[in-house]
Amino acid sequence: MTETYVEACCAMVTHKFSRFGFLTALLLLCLSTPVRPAGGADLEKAGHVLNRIAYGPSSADLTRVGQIGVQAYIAEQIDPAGIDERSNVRLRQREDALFTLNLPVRETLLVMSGQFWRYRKGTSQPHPGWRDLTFNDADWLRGPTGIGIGDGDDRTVLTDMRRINDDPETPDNESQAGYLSVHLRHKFLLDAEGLAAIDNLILRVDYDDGFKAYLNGAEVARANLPAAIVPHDASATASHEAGTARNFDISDHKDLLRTGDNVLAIQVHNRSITSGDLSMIPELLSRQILPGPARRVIRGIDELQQLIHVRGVYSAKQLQTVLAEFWENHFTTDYDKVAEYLDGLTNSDATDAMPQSQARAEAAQLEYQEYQFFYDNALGNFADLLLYSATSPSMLIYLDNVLNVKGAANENYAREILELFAFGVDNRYTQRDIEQLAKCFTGWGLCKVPRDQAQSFPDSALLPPTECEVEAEQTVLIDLGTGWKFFKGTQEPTPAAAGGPSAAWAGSGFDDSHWFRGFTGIGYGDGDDATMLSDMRGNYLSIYLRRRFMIDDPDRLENPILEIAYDDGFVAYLNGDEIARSANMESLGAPPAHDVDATPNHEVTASPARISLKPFRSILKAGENVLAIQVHNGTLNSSDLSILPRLIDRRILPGSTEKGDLNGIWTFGFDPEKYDTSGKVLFDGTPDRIVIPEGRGSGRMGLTGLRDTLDVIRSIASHPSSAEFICIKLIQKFVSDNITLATYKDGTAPAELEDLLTEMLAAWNSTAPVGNIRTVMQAMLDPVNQSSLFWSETAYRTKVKTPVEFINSSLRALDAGASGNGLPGLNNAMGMHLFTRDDPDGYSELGFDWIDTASMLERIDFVRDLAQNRKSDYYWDALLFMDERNLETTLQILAYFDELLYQNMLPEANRSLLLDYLATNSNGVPLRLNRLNPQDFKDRVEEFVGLLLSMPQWNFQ
Amino acid sequence: MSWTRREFLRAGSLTAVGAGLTFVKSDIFEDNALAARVAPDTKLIFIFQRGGSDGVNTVIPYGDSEYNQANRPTLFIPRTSAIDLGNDFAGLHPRMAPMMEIYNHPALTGTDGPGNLAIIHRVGYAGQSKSHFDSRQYWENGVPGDPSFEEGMIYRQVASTMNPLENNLVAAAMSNSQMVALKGPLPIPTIGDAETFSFSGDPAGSIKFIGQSPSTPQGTDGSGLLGAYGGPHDFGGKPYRDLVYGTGLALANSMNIVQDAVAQGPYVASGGASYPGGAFGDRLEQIAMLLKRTEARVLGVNIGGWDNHTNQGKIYGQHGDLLAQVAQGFGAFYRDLQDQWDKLLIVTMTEFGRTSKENGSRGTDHGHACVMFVAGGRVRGGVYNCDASTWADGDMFSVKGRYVERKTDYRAVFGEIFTRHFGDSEDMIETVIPGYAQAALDHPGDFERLNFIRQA
Repeated sequence: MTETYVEACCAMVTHKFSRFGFLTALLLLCLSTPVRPAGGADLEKAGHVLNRIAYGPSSADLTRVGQIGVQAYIAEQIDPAGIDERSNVRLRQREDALFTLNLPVRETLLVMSGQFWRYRKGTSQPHPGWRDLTFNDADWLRGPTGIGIGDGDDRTVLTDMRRINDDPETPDNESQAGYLSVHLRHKFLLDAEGLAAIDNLILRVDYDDGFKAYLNGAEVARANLPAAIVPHDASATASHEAGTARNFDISDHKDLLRTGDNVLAIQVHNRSITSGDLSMIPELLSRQILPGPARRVIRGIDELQQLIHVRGVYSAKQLQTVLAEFWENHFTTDYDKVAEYLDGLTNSDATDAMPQSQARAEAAQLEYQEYQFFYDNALGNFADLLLYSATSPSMLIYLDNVLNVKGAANENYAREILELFAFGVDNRYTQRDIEQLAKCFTGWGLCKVPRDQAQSFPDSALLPPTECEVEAEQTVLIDLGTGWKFFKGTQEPTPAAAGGPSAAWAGSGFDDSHWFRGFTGIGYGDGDDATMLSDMRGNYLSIYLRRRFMIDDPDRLENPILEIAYDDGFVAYLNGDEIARSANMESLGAPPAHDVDATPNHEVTASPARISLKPFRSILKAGENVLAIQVHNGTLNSSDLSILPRLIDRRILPGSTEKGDLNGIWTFGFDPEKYDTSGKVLFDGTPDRIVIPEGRGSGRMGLTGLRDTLDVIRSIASHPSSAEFICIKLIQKFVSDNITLATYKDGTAPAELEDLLTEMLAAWNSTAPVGNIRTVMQAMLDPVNQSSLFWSETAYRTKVKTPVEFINSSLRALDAGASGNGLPGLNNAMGMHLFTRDDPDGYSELGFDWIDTASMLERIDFVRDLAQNRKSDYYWDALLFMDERNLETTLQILAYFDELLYQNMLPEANRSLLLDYLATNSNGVPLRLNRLNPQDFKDRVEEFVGLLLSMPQWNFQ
Repeated sequence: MSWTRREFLRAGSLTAVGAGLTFVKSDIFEDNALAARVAPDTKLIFIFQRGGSDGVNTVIPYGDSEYNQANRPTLFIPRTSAIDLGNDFAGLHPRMAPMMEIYNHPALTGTDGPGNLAIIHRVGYAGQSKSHFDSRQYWENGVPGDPSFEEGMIYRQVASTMNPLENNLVAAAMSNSQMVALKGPLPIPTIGDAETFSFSGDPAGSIKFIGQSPSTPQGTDGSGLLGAYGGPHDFGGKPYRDLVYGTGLALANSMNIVQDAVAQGPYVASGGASYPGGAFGDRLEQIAMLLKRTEARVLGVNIGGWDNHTNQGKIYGQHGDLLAQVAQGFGAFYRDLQDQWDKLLIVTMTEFGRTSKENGSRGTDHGHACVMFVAGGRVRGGVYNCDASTWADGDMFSVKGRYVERKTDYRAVFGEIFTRHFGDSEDMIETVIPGYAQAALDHPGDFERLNFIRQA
């Protein structure tokens, strides 16, 4: 029988794989015979190779393997530089959609969070001109943003906003009527230079629930409110929780801005008058695009997760893509932890380094850089992969090496580099080695550098910057020492009319001539005070301080910062306005009464709290100003209290890169000051013992100390334990998971797998440096002789697909279209969310970790959604698929998929079950499948493929 | 993975493997007639705290002078802030207050209450691993030192005594991913969310898809999904066939039971119970729902986030927030499941405790022994292993000057649960916890009877 015969007679062979076609034809002829058809060695091998070094067979790849043979296909895959993907349009289009171009920019906050705004409670309708520049808001209330109630995200708390009428807990408050809205205004100055620099104008709002924003009287943005004029007593149309600020690009409205005074006005509405939370934290951002090259960056973490699938389904470099996923998972890092870390950073001027959106974008890009390195070096040297991972910013953050400093070691990374990334658990190392190794990694950290100073690997690891501190010069406006007046908090310094506290004492007009004079620090206990309050303990809980200071021109201050060391709590005021308080004074009233206590306790430490006064620059006056502070003890009988405030202005010197710099690049940095120079001994008592002498006297300090640690990493990479652990993981991934480090060590692993391991270890050790992955893969795959264990029954169809493998192979089986959207969610549901795994061990390569009812439900739902086109994110065209392959009858369709997916080895019982399914209507009544009835044909083929891919066999590869 | 080992144990569970071993009469086996007196439908909820919890800040040994601000600069909880447990030694983390409704008893705290919470400190095992992955594996598979052994200890209890083939939902892991404790050759359902535990799409359209099981096991006369998974195993001699085919059947069969339970309407907890929010709390509530509406007897759930190397926090913060969730869960179960409280036992486990000294990042690193909480109608409440008679000053640093040394082996705790709560015989214990007798011989102190469960 010839190929021509098959095509002519059966009209179904598309693989141009004459022997496969022959077998398929045979199968058709033999269908009545109740025996499994012979598999055919070539088809079996082709299917096996595609199941392992690729994400399963696609018709195109199976055809290609048929044309060139498995040996040539493996050769091509193992040296993928020769595969040209420039004309792979499906791949390129989908990949390009995941990236964006990042231009160099300068951002300036025209309005920042924490600034004082005028606001008016929405108990009645405000004057119609309330949002105009000319409106006089002098009789409105005044307070810093966030303004609102509930959730603990507001500095100006509107306790009367919520209607309370039937709360049995507080019957006394039944009369609180509440109100639905707040109107806010904030004026800001803009000079001609600043106005000209605005390329993009962004309104960044953290809000709950709905708002409308106006710039100089004209609406520029809204959310959850209608277009029409919204009265004060209207509800927001939907709920929205604050917590993540949202950017509104209002560049189209930038012409509303003018030099001189401008006003940003906002009305914020609650969803319901009984709602317990509302919030408004607005910022206005000017973005100037600077000259310079653009950078291609991943759009976000979702897009990075999609990239795994886009490459996995469409790239011809299948082995490289499979290995890239393997390494990414092996050297796993957690995007969420990286983003959270970046979000928590502070610039040297004490401002928040970046908004959450920037932190997420930077974290996603760091994860992408890691993945791309593993992709580019998937078949390279293990030592490079290990060194890259160790110095990658994501890893430095993820396993806490950024926190690992001399005298305060953190063992997290030191443990995992041995246990999880190189040696395998308990494989020739001890707890002592971990402690010693943790010392080696002290001083390792992150540095943000200008784009043109970012180095590529290996220089990024070998020659990291050692000076990452931002250079600045400081002008001291108020130093520790003289000039302070204080008042003992035995009573309120300036009681309000009703007897409660007022902040009148903190204002610039207050007469403090009857207060005591003192030097800071003021307090008692701990020996850190210049003014001793020997009568405080047991007698009063608080003290009040004032200090006058002169400023010639507030606009010339760059970064005014209040530095304050305190014990136990404080509230600080500038010219009578509260500007900061310690966390343990939250919700104690504004101002807190003299007799409240600050809990939990807080001690004076070497690094004082630093508060940026940038948002309060407009409060400062030319001439005399007053800084006032009230300090509270934790308990009346506390053994100490202290306050040590300084006011400084900080001017950042040119050339420095702040942590929040949008144009900077995160790199590995080494701080010699934080490096532990004490002597270290690793792997003591073994042939691989490493001794690093003490730094003092031997010169092993500074960069020498870094070089010592880089040498240790190289030693770890070339250590026999690493060879064992990595080769075993490669066997688990590509051959059989019936071996682990533990069974290898205790001698219970199957002998044939141990033999394969021996061959791979020999290959590992055959190169200089050792650990060339291409060489090791060559030994494992044995493409020329095809006699290694990879080709045996032990390997064939014995591996359970991981979720990524299951998803990608399903899409490839149907030539499906997928943008990648929706697939990360599926991975998550099946238990394999790459880039966000909490645990540092990576996802399992072992089959029994992937099969349980919850994940099988997800698998079955996915393939049925795919086959029946129930989701827009992944789809196939059943009619086109069948027509292109000339498949019309139930037998043809089944035979085609049996060959493509199962190497013609579906057992008779399954074949008849599948044929029955395809040959009956939705009620199970036999009905001939008829291509001339396209809708019924399509529906039944789709349902059939849903069952085909739900079969037990499809979980195996 | 060790196939030979697994096959051996599977055989063992059917034939009582004790034949070749000499048993010592361990303390818990004083009464082999126990099984007859234990109710046939006792139930177990187990909670795995993944990451390794800081036991020293959970049940605080105030009687040890090493628990102080110097050793724990940012983690130290003053005694006045903690909850007094009435033994003049230990204090409970303040966020665990909801536990006290179960703990309280006139003899313990002078306050009325059932006295049904046992707090067992310093639980671990000889040869403590400080690897998350290995140590979790040991806690779940019941065989310390064998990380490749992929069969759960609680699974063996279920498989040997509860016939999961007959009742496909006698046990389940309420989790998106399976729990090793319930892993084994007979698939036990893993249920991410009971509400959505059904095939997507129109239920009517699923009838043909689900099909019919064959008339005999692995027969060829089935149809649809049940026909495929209940039919002959393709490549039957190769690994994971039983697992994959069995899981498909368990999925289709347990799905029916769960959907019947869900169909009874929205679940309303009894007794004013309030489950914690979030994924963990939702799962606890579904556990209660399944215990009330189905024949389920053993349900497991994970709660992650305990690996607090940095910024652990003392009262508020990461650790305190997690403790609060666990405690609120216990409190809610106590109120909600009063109708079955006498048959119920709730137990927590975690892979290890943490360093007794705070690290340089306001957190703690991996340590040794930790605390287990056990509650239930027949639990004899109180603090075990954390009192002046068992805890010497400085015991906080009893291992290498870094960790708390174990006093009790976790297998002894589970041994008491399996015998007194489920009525296991000593032969059965050796099946459920292989090597139990030998371990008790090697470390008799670790296996001393605690008597935290009253005799039936």
